Amino acid sequence: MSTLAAARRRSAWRVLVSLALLLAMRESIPNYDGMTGPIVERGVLGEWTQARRFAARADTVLTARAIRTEKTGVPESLSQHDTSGVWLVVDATAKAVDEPVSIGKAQILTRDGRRYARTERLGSTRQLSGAELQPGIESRGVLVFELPADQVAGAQLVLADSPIAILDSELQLDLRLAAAPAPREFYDLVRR
Amino acid sequence: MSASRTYRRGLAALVVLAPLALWTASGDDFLEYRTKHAVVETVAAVGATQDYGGSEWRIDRYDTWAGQPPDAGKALTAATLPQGTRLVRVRVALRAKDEAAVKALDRCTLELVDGRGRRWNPGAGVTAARRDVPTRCNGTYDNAPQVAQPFLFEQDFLVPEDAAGDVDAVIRLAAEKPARLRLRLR
Amino acid sequence: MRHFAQVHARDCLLKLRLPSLRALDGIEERRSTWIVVGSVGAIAVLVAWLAGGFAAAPKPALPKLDAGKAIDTGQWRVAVHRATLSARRPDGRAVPTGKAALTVEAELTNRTHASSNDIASALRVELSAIAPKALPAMTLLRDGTILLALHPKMTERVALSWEIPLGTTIPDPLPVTVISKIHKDRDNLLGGEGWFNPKPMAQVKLKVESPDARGAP
Repeated sequence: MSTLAAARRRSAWRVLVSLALLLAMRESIPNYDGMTGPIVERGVLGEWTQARRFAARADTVLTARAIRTEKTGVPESLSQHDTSGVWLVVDATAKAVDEPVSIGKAQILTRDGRRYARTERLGSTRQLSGAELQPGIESRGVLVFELPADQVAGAQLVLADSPIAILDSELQLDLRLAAAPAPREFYDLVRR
Repeated sequence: MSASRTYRRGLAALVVLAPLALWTASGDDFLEYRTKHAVVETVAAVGATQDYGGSEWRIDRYDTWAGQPPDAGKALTAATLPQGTRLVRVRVALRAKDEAAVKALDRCTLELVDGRGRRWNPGAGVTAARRDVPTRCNGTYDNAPQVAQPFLFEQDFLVPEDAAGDVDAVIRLAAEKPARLRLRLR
Repeated sequence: MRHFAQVHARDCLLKLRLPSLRALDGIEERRSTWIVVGSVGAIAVLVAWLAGGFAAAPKPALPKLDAGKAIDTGQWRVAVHRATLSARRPDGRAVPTGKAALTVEAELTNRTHASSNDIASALRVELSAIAPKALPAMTLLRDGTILLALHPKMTERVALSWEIPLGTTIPDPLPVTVISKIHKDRDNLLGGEGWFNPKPMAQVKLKVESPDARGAP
C-alpha cells in the first residue's frame, strides 16, 4: 500500500517536472525576430566600425530646436521645421567594402530600448542615407532624427544597409551622450 | 536479427538518406543559386574590339587624374577630389549590329572592377559641367546609338588610389545576363 | 384517424425499445436512444428556428467618443478632432476635378517602442464612397509635409485625407470608427512580434465642416 502511494507520488512529480521543463523551453525559445535578427557590431563616436558590406563612423552629434533645409537643387525652397521634441543631428562618414551599397536603415536606439527612425521630413539635402557608398571612398553626410528631449541621453546610432537586416550586420554606435546636450535654437542644413 | 544490428544498419543507411533528403529539399534552390551567381565573362585585351550582345565594344580612351582634371572644357563641379582618391574617366566606343542590339543598350551598365573583386559605379559625387559625349550606353534624345554607326559614351569614376592602376571596365547588358564583358584598361 | 396515428407511434416506440430490453446487445439499445435524442433535438432546433433563434444577433453599439477626447487603441493614443470637405488637400494641393477631399484631423501618439507608419489603420470613416482599405493621403499638420512615420512618445496632429466623388452624400454627423489592435509577441504565421486583430473600439460623430464655402465671396 505504501509502495503504491510512493510510486504514485513519484509519477506525479515526474509529470510536474516535465510540464515545468516544457513551459521553460516554450518560453525561452527566441521568437522569429530574435532568431533572424541582425548581427550587432558595437562602436563609439569617432571610430570606424565595420559591417559586412560597409564601414561607418559617427563624427559629431548636436541637438537643435529647429532645422532649416531646402529641396535638393531648388534654392528658393528654403523651409524651416520645428519638432515636438528635439532634432538630433549626427554628422557621419561611411564607405562601402566591396561593392556599391547605401545605408537603408538609420535609427536612434534609446536607453529604454525604443527605436526612432531617421526623419523623412527634410528631403535629401546633405543626407548620408540614400547616398550610394563606393568601396574605399569616404562619403560624408548627416543623419537627422527627432525624438523627445528626455530620450537623448544615452542614445546610440543604429546603421544597416538593408531596412530589414535579417542575419546581417547592424552597427550600434554609442554617441557618448551621457547627458543630453543643450539644444541650439537652429541648425542650417543648407549653409551649415 | 538482433536489435543492435538493425540499429547499425539504420545508421549506415543515414549516410545515404541524409544527403538525399537534403538534396530533395534544397537541390533546386542550390542549382538556382548557382545559375544566378554564375559569371560568364568575356575578356577583351587592351585596345581590342570585342563582340557582346550584338554590338562591338572597345575602350576609346581612359584617363586617370590625381586631382582636378586639366581644364579641357569639362570643369568638374567638385572643387577638389577627396583625399586618397583618383578620378578615372572611361570612354567606350560601340557599334550596334542590328535593331535588337540597339534595344539591348537601354538596359546596360558600365562599372569598374579591380583585381580584388571590388566594383565601382560611376558618378559618385563627380559631374562634369559640360561633356561632348553622352554618359549612357543608350545615349541621349538627340544622340542615340544607330544600327551600324559608331557611338561613344563616357563615365567618370572615383576610386581609391590603390585601385586606380588596377581596374578594368565591365559592361553588363540585362539581356545577356549572366554574361558580361570585361574590357582591360591596362 | 388521430387515434390510429397515436397507437401506431406508440407501437413503433415499443418496437424500438423491445429489442433493447430483451437483448443484451448494446448496439441496438444505443440506436433507439439516438433516434429518441435525435427527434427531440430536431424538434428543439425547429422550435428555436421558428422563434427566431438563428437570426443574426444585433451588433452591440460601439461606445461613443467625444471629438477631441483621447483613447488608447493599443498602438496609438488617438483623439479625433474634426472633419472637413474641401477642394484642397491638407498639404495645399488641389484635388482632381470631380473629386473632393474628405479630411479627418486627429492627434496621435505612438505608444509602441519603434517608429511606425501603420497610421491609417487606426481610423475608419464610415462612408461607402471610401473603400475599406483605401489609403488616405497623410499630412503632418506641424509643417504640412507628407507624413510617413510617427515616432514613439511624440504627439502630433495629423490629417488623413481621402478623395471622394463630388456630390457624395455625407451623413451629418459623420461616423468615424477608432480601430484597436493587440500586440502579439509571437504571431501565428512566423512567430514574430507585431500588432494584429483590428477591431472597432469606439465611434466619434463629427460635423463635417466646409472651409471652402466659408472663404468664398
